[in-house]
Amino acid sequence: MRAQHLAASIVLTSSANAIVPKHGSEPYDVSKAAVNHLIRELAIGLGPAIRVNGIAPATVVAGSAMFPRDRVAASLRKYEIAFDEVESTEDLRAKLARFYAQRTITRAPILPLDCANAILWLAGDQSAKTTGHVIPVDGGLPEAFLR
Amino acid sequence: MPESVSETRLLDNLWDEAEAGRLAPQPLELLRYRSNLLGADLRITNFGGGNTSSKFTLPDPLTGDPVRVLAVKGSGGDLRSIAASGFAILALDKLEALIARYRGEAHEDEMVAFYPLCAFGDNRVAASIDTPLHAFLPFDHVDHLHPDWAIAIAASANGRRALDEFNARYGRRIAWLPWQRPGFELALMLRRAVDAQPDCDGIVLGSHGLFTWGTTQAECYRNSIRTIDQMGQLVGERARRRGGASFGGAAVRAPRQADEVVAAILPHLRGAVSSNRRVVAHVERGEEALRFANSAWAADLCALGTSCPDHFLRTRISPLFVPWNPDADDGAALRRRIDDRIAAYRRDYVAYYEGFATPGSPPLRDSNPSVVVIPSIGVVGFGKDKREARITTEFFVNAIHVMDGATALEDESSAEAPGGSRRPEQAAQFASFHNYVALPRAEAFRIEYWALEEAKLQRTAAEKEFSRKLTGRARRRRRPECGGG
Repeated sequence: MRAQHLAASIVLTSSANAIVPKHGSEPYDVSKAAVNHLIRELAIGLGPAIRVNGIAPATVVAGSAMFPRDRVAASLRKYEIAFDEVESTEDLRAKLARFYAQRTITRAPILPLDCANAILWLAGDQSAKTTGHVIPVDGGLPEAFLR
Repeated sequence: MPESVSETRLLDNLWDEAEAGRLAPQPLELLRYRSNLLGADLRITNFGGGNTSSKFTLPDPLTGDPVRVLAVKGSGGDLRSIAASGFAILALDKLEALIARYRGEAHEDEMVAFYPLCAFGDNRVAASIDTPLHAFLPFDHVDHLHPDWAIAIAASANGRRALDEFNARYGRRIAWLPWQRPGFELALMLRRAVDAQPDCDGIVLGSHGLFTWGTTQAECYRNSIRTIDQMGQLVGERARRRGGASFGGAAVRAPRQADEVVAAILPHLRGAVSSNRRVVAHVERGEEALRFANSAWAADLCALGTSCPDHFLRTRISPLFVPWNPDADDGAALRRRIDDRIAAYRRDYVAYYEGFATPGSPPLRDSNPSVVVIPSIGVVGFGKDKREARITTEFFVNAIHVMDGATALEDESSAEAPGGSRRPEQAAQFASFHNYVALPRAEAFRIEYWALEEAKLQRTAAEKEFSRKLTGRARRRRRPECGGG
């Protein structure tokens, strides 16, 4: 990128868990906290031509390879959400997604498209004056409000 | 001794009688079929290049009366993929009537505004500038193509003599017309050429391409591929007879650089040619491209420029040649040389524009090259997206074929004045190098900054948000190409 001497944009994927701790998730959460600061360091180091920003999604269930059936079932049991073994994996995933959604201000599940739209905005010229920042895509989590 | 009429040695005859029979009741579909076959082989014509036409009768949609129409490839179409809906259909008697309104060559551009008024029924396909060329040739089916082998003859200093030899050997009667910018004037010249030589069976346009025809669609197709095939045989045989390496042999003997070396220089190169508008690269490293890039004549041929208008619109007047010998110079030296040469190219381009522009000319466009040739690396083409970059590169490979063929035809007669121009004072401008003749800068400007070309550019869709920043589908690549951003 530097060799081209052209305006450019880097978008890193962070997580709401970079600043919201979660029991049993230490390595992931700490690595994402590091990503948040890496974004700031790189923004200074690579500017002015190259902007560096990130998005901080909360759990994206739809279309995710990270939610095999047994993990979904374990989470439903953890949160004491009733389900039946005969229900399809898709239906179980939808139940979990709805549960997460209810915990947010917007009460809607977060979709890959939501993340893509935020990345698109940060990657393109519309965000030309934004660098060193992390955009939450978490449905609205007060614990993740940035100050 | 005339060769066999039906046999082709280099090209395949793809005409399927059964399929043609099925389509015969619909002349437009048969024209589409013929066009798709011709466009399927890049040796017959380049992408988007050339046009095909047929004259037949259709019932007027209002009165039901039979109307003789011309169906011709619409502006911007590509023969390989054109559908029936891609053809402009015009009433022939209206096109004929335009001749009475023609005020002469100085005003030929104004005729283009009349073509939509000649449209048949509700056909609204934009008519190409070549429409009158097809209308005024007195044949029901006409092919105008840009085969590299034919353009090699058309761009040769001794092209007329080469054509005479071609005609004698193959028992043909192809006529030669000197360079004339496509338009109404050229259309009338074509008609006059056939009037003067009624038994001619094709026309070579200096520095441009080929016209062939037939009384049926099948005959037209056969004549086209037969003519191109024979020209390919002639050019190939002259190359073998001349012997030796093409383009003066290798000047740089360093081996083809590893992909990593190309990947290392590409970001710098892309950034340099994107000084005005961002572009995306396509790298061509095949044997033909490298043979040209490494050759002794590469610098001179690049400076001379391209010859066929179609090629030239994509590749610009000339590519940028960056001399480099990896055995003597390192990557840092190459980067510095790229910077120096591109700066000089831009200055020359602006001087070219300022030298030929008139108050009515469209404004200066990007002054960067769209093709860069570097020994041991190859040919790098640039465009607003990957597809355009690839097509630009392909067109320069077409230009390499033309230069290869034209230089192969070099002989004692090459020293004579080139038969390229229509006017004596213009003859001196047709510079040549080892028998290859490039378009003069003045004619190149008249094409590049043609008001009609500007209008065509204005018609293209507005660019999307990430235009010039994406190289294509995300996938593992073996070849280094510039990344998005």
